[in-house]
Amino acid sequence: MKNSLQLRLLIAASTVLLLFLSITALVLDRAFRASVETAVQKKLQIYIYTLLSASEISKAKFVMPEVLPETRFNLPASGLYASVVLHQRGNKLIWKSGSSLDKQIPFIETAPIGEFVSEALVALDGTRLHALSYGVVLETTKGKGKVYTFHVAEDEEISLAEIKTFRQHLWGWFVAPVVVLLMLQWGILRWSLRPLRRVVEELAHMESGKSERLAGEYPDELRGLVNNLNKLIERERKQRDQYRHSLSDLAHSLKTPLAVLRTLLDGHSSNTLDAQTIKFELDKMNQLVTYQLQRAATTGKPVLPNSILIEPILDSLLDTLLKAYRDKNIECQKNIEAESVFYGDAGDLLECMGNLLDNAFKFARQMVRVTVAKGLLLQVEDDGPGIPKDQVTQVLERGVRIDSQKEGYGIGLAVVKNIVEIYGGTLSIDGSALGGARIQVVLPRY
Amino acid sequence: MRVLVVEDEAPLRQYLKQRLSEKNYVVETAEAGAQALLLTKDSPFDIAVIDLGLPDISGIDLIKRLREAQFTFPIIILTARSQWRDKVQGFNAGADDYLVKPFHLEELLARFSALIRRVGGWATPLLQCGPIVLHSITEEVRVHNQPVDLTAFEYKVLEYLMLHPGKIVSKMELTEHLYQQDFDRDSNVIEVFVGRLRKKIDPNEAIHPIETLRGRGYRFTVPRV
Repeated sequence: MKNSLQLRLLIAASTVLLLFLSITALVLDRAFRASVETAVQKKLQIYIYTLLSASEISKAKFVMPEVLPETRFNLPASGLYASVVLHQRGNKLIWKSGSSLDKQIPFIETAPIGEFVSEALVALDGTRLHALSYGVVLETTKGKGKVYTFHVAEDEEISLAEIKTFRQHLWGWFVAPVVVLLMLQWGILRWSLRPLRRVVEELAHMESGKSERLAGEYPDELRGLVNNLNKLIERERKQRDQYRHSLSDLAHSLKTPLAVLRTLLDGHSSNTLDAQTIKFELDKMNQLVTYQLQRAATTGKPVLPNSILIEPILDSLLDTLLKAYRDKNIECQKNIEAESVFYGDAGDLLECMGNLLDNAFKFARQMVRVTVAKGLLLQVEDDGPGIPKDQVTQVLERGVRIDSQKEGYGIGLAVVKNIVEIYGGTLSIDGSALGGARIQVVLPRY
Repeated sequence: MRVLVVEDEAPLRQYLKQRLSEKNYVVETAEAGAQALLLTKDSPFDIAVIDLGLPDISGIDLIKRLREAQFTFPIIILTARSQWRDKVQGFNAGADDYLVKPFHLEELLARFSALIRRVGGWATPLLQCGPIVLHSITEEVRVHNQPVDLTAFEYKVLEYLMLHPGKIVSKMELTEHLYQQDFDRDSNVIEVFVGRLRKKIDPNEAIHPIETLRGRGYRFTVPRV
């Protein structure tokens, strides 16, 4: 999990988002609560004024109407309670609202005149209340003033219910945007990381040989990497070509002196033991040089191999061989699975198939059969004399000939074996249904 | 047979010229592609041996140019490069055979005769026309299964005619293809050889293998078997 960029980004961004949104929700909640409380206070103040305006001093007595306009004062257990206290020779409760008949509310005794005092109270029966008290002086018609304190209290439940509703709305409406935001975020991440995914795709293409370089458009951050990768691949290819050319030149320059030496000997046409020995050793030298150079020239699988279609190469080889062995009138059967490909260097494939086919044509009487199957199987059969079982290992060792009269398998099969080994494949020799030798090469996909 | 040898390494070039001449081939040599092309303008060749690693134009290019110039004589590539990609390239360019250095001279000669025979339409070393049988490797000639003794040049004339059966071969052509340049070219010598050849092959005048076409040349008339 730690290895996925996308997952990492997604988790980090989601966490931050959720945290931020949660804090926002909490702040909103808090603010609302505060505003509700303020509203409650304002409401209670208005109730006090209502009570004040409803009350009368009649014949020096405090009178409150039986039924107050605010119905909640009249109904018992309505949640809104009020009382009035007279401060004359002590504190005397002179009026209680209809709703607070059996409610015991521990209001403060007095509130300073002209001032509101707000409290949070708990009634004797456990009800939680917001309370507001107001001290006032009321005058009789004769101008005699008496000090009263008006009390109003409201059940907390009411404001709590409001908060609860708000909270439900808040959180309810909260979830949908959060989900949408998270999805948007995921979408944005995928879009942003697309160039990285494209690199991965293009690399996969190159590995399967469908393309030779990273060709897409990339954002600035990746461009450096992509360009360097392309340069690396190009450099590797150039190096391979350079190496191969210099080896080819080396072959030319080494073999010509050998040819000259040999022809000098031919000129002597002396059959002395010395001359024979020198000729033999020269031939051996030539074979060894050829073999080692062939071996070194085998490039093996490059870093990101191209996929090479086998059929065209096979066709050009068969053209060449049919021309070279025209006199023999060989009939060549070709069984090749369509679109068979070889992952590696084209030169190596040519060398491998060229040697196999050349041997087949050389030793065949009339028929040669080539089979190519995906996976990869290369098989060449002929109807010649075949290779005896006990000589198979000899043949595969370098420079050894079975039949010294003919050119023999010479180093051809040894070269094929070498190439096959470098590509991690296997070579086997046995008999063919056609009557001669069957040589099978199996090369792994990777 | 006229042979063109294009080889930049002097010792190998001299060697080929010497040994091929011993085998009665008429040899012209060139050490580079440009020179080779010039030589082809003189008189036609029957076969060419070309090294791939030439100093001026590559052997492959030379072969391509020769084919473009409509020269159809067989070409053997002689080279140190033994990779199949080079062989395939050589054949694609128009070569007919490919020999890797160092080589055995016998192999080269065998391939020469094979290619020349092929041109004449002969698939095997045995050229048989009617009762006349010529073995191009052993250089034996038999008529009605009786061996016939021919000199080297008589043999060459017969072989050339049998390799171009039914075609009119001018005296000039015979002279050019069978004689080195520094030989005294007297067309009467050809007449003499043809006469002798007729006597040896057809003493009873029953077969009439070689027809004389006045002013045009000779033609081998016995049909192929």
